[in-house]
Amino acid sequence: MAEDRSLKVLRGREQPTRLELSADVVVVGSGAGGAVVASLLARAGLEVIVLEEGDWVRPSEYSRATPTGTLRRCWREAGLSAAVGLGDTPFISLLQGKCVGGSSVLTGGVCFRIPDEVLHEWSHGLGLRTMTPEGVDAHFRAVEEVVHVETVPDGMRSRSTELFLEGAARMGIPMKSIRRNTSGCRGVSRCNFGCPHGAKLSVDVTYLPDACAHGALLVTDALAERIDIRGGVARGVRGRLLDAGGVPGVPFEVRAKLVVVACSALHTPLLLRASGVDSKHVGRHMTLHPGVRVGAIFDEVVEGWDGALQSVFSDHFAADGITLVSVYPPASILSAAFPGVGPSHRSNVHKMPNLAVFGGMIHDQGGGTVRRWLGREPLVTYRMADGDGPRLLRTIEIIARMGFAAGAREIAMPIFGVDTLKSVRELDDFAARPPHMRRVECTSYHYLGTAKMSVDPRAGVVKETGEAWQVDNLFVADGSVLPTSIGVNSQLAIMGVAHKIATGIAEDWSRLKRRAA
Amino acid sequence: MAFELAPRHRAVVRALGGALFAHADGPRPEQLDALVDGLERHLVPVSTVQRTLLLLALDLVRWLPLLLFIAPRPFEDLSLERRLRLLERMDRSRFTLLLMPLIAFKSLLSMYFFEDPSELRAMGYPGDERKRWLKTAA
Repeated sequence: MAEDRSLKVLRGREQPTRLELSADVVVVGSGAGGAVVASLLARAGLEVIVLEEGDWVRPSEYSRATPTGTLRRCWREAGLSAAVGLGDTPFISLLQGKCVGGSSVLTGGVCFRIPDEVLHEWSHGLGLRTMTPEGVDAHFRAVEEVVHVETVPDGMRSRSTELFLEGAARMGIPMKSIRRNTSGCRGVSRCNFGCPHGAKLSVDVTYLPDACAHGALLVTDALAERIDIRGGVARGVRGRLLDAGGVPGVPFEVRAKLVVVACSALHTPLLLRASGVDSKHVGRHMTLHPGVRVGAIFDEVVEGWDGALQSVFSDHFAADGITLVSVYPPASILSAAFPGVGPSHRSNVHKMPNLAVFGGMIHDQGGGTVRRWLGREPLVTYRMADGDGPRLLRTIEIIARMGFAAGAREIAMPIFGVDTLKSVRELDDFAARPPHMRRVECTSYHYLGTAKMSVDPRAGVVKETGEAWQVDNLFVADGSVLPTSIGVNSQLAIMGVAHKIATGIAEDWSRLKRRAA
Repeated sequence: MAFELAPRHRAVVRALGGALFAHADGPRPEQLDALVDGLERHLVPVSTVQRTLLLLALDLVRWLPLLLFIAPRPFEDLSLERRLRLLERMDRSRFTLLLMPLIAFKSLLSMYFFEDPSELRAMGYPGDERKRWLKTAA
């Protein structure tokens, strides 16, 4: 990997006139998928241009930014995106990056490979022959080395996490250490707002500098609007450059022999549809790992902000589709989650030093759909499968019980309008009379599946190689191609699959290049 | 992109902030000014559709006293006590149209309000000082 961590960036907002570029490969999106593809193909000697809709925020700037400042500058819709819940489904917030490095800049850095049982389902159930633990192992190993995947040291666990462990131990729930892509983490729990110490090795400080060191060019503020497809072959990308206020203006065109779309499971379907890819699977089957957290208030001072944002997890309930995970966002962000309004809310917020936070998410069934509607952002709808609602409520109950088992005196539930629970009996009552799902405060992560991989053009959007069934030399290399929920954080999974797809492109380049001629 | 909250929206945000974060000594007027500015800045990078929805939600809050037969005047003209009672009613409501505006603005305004260094100190947050990593590093 390149030691020089600078990027070769053309900032769209500074471009006064129409921009025309050409390259071997144009990659749309600079996040976990696009950056890996750009690096591998640049290393293979191809001319690569990466288009990023968001701004370039230098890692040094994160130390000066407040959480709200980062939300405005780096998060899509300033963090206000949401999926509309259909039927018995809560309103679910959608969190996604829009900056150089994409969501990799804003994750907790948690790294999981795709679980073997999921790969088994893909290779045996769906017929994706190469998606086996052996088939993807080399790709994961390569990525893990570059982004420095390491186990969070025990000493970096916050007191909040230690209490999470104590509660779990008393309930007989085993926990495991999390692996993250970090080096030199100081445990300020700010991962979701860009690491202020440059300790999270997101793709803006790993794969993208490497791509640029091997000749790639990164164009920021570039809104890709259409893939040029002629004669059934992708030949480039057109769009407009955004000014500093995000308004599209100056047009651009990048001619290329091959196009890789990697702008996330929420935006890749929009670009594919706008470009004429009309498979019925485009934009459907979206999975999103609905997640919840409870606040456990203790008599002791916890100061949960001192330590790694995430450091342990449990797959004890994996068979039930539930993953438990420790988490502790910044204090100002957590303040919104406390119950009450006015003086009662303030009184709860002032319990922050005594607060531990426990989280969990479910392995969902893919009830999401992404559609174009008014403007540039998609309309995302999500309908929970029959078992997912009860599973989410069970997750809340388990982590709340862990809180009481650890000695909490109060539990703040992720249920709107509900006061803190003061006893196990109150929790029993909650479990006996669960609230309507629409009252559940639910966040989501890890959007997958909206341009899924398949062995049959009737069953998906792309082949196992990542190439679109309908268009030659058009590849997708982001979370969209993963055909089902994976039940764990998806950053490493996306990078591993993108690595596999990029390796295939590089190996097959002579043929792909001839096809574009 | 130039974007400014309309005077009526500024008034509702101030009134919302004054009630959401009410306590014996505050919030101070400058904190409410900062809340209004914060929300205005936050809506700049947001898409027109999303921004319009949020502004409509502010209008809804503004006229809830009338719609719910509480008082024949807008939200910002209610006393603090009546604003608090209305927000509590929204918080416990089964109706999405009442619950969602409260969730949206409580979440957004809380992030800005509690980011204020004086509020962080008041809640016991010591700033970026950390002890665990120093022990681990040692």
